[in-house]
Amino acid sequence: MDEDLDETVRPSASARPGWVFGFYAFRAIAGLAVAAPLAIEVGVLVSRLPRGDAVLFDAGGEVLLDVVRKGHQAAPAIAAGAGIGLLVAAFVGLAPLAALLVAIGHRGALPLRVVAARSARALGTLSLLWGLALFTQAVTAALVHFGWGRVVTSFGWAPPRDNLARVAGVVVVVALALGIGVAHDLARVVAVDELRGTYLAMARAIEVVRARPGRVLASYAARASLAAGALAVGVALAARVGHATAPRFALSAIAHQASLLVAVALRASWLAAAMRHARATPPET
Amino acid sequence: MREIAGIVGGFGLGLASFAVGGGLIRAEPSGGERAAESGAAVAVALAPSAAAGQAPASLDDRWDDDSSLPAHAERVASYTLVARLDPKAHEVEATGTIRWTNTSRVPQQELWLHLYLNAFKNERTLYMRTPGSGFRGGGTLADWGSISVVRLRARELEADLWPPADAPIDPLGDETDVRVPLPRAVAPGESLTLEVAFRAHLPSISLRTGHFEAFHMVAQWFPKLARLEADGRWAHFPFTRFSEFYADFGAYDVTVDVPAGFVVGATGRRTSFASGGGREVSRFVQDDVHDFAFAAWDGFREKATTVDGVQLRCLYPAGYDRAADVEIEAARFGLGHLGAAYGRYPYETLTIVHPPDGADEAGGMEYPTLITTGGPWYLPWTPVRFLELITVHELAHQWFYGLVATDEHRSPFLDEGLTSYAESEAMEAWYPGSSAGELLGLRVGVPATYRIGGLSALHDGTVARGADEFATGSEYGSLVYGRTATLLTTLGRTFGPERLRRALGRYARSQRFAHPGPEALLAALRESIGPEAEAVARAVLFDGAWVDYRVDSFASSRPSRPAGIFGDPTSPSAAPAPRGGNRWFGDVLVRRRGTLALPVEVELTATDGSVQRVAWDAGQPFARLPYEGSAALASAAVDPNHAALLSSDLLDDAKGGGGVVAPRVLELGGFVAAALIHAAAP
Repeated sequence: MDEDLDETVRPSASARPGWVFGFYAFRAIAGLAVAAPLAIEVGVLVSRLPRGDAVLFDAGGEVLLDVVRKGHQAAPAIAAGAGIGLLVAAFVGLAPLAALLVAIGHRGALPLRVVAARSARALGTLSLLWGLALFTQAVTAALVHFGWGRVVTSFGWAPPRDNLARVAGVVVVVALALGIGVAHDLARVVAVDELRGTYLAMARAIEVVRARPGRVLASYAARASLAAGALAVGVALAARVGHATAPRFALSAIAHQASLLVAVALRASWLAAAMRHARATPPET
Repeated sequence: MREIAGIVGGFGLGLASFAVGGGLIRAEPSGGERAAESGAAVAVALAPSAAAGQAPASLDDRWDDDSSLPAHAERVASYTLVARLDPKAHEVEATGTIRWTNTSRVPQQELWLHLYLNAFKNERTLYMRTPGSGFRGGGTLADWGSISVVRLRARELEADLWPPADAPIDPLGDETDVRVPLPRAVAPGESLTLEVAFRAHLPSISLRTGHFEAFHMVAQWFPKLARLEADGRWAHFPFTRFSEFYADFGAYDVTVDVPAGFVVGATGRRTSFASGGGREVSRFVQDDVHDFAFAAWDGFREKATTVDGVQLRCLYPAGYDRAADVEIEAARFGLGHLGAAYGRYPYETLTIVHPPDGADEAGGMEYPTLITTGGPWYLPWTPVRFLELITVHELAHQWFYGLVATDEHRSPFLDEGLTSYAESEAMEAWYPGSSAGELLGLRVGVPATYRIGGLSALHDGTVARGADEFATGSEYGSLVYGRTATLLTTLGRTFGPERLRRALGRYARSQRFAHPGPEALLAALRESIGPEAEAVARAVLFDGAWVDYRVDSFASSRPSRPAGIFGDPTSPSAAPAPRGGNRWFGDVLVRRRGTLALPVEVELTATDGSVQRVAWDAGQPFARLPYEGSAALASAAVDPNHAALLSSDLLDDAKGGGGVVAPRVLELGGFVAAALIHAAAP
């Protein structure tokens, strides 16, 4: 697929486990920061109970529903805070992403100041690309979703045909969003690896996709599918283990974090693959 | 962990007495306000309410199994009808007879007829005038509904009874409750044959009945005699938004004539079928019931099976096959479980109708041998067991409404409340701890959902009210469904599930084909569980009693030499040595708020992990429970197993937790947030 690059210039995520782990650590910490207000709200509500929030996972859910009942007034504020937190985390996350891209594109010793300098130079472009990608994804999703929704409504189908047709529209929206995401990743890789500006990075991303569409798609799809699978396995394992006791809680947390680490590693692997595709595609401009 | 030595004292006892560590310890009475508070709580718990006037039933162990079940109901009001459905006009034209017997002790000079469909006739009906937020039937009518009686003739009296001499009693023109004078009194035991002809125009689907495109739910569709109580009083009422129905038992023989291609699901067993001339005619017959409804649609799919001799039939829209499978499985489980608890299901058929999308108002309703469910087709793939819940709930109505035919207008808690409990208990038996649903390791049972529902209107009035006495639908739902179910769950957990099962089993079996009032239920609780259970039920149902437990504080310490002057102050002696050696002593201050006194356990946990459980009768508003143990007290929890599910706040039932951050929520929420960042903002 992308083995046509010389090994000495072949970007690799597996060669930079520390940077990959750092990227995972940022994600995990950002997630904890986003969840902290909810954890504090619930923590205060259950603070009198000897078993703390372990009772939320008891069979029957009697305390769980009491927490929901008494905490629902704070829910809008917590949800708004979490939404803003997610956006901030995604934006701030561009810095560790840039560092990760610098690291996986570099062979040999890598001084921190080099990483910092090259990351900093790309941050402006990465920010613009992120904003453009988000905007494009939102507009595309809205157009397809509402347009398709009108079409489906005009058919006057009964469920489940009506619901399935709408789900098909959602699948198309997600596929388009993922496609934009792939192009966005390629542009980001080029922005960091080739130090291109926003426009040229986008142009190069399109070049790469046009030059090797099948390889790019396969590289992305394989890793994204595996990452989704890893997350699903983590969720299922943790749910099965439960949270009733401290050891079970620890095991379920390990299952969650392990699956997240695997997903992040696969994402880093995809970015390395994207960089290899970009390097293997000579620029036309 | 030490076992409870026993609850000593019971309701109203001034001292809570319990055994800890083998020694009898008495919790001291506390506070000068104790007597007043205690008196109030006990009075609430024990004083009979004047609101319940029915005589109690006499119960014994012959009702613990099905050997004494009556085989048939008394035929009081029997209907023989031939009905023709015009699905384009959404009309049913019918003729037939009503055979009625005066089973009261009083000669009757009049009849009362319910014309329920007139509730949808115009904006002046009681139903349309009543605000109904928070409950079904709130949508706008696209098509008015009505019922027109064409003929009503008393054969034995040789008298035409229609139009009635009296105008409808409602000054604004509600025509759902009509008095029909008779030319002469009908003596006790005498029967009348009423020849009837009528035309029912179904409304757009609303409040359980009506049409949606070609789907027709034909319910509350015929002139129906009100029930005549034994004392000669007609239990009649205009049709209000929250009210359901009440009628005498009888035999129904209904012939349904529909266009070819329409599938009909109806009360009773089909005894004949004929087709020709573009029409299909089915005859349905059922004894020992008090209503008849049918659904007709040319879009139904059908699954059928037999469960313990009962022909089970599910009618559902295309694409809902998996939902139909779930509903059949739920009915299979329910027939066995509910039959064992409340007496075997006596009919040969059970029909489940799942209305199509858009006809949701027809869903979630019970008729004799026919229930309607509902919900979208994809529910079987969600973590919520909605299809099982709705099926088991409506099936449970076959007992609490169908076989035990209480007055749904006057005492809705007797059917909806007991049904909600029966559903809750059955679902917990089927899916222990997660009967409502399960997601990400969080498990929710039906009892918890009813508890939360019951709390939303906790202080808004009593449970035992007429359906037309509730201010809103949410208040009705909260108290009638949620509070009653939670009361019964509490009784089961407090006094023992087997005792409650026996009480409700005896009640349901002894009242089969009868029309009991609240006193029969209370008598069953009293005779099978004890006067305490009856007192709790009466207080909650009729007086809106409530309770909340709280651990206020706890402390423990090792004994030390007492401070102060001992002996002669001018020449004090040494302080006496502490008693108890290395033991720890202390106390726990527990409170019981509210007007209901339910005995509970208190769990005391020490820092070395040892646990003591003591009993507190909660007769006083607070108590200081003494502690003696091998280590310092780490925490205290009232009612740790949530036996008193009526308690209005479970989060203050304990003390001794630590930290203001919920670690599990932080971890789970952090993982979900990180996964979202990964998926949505890579």
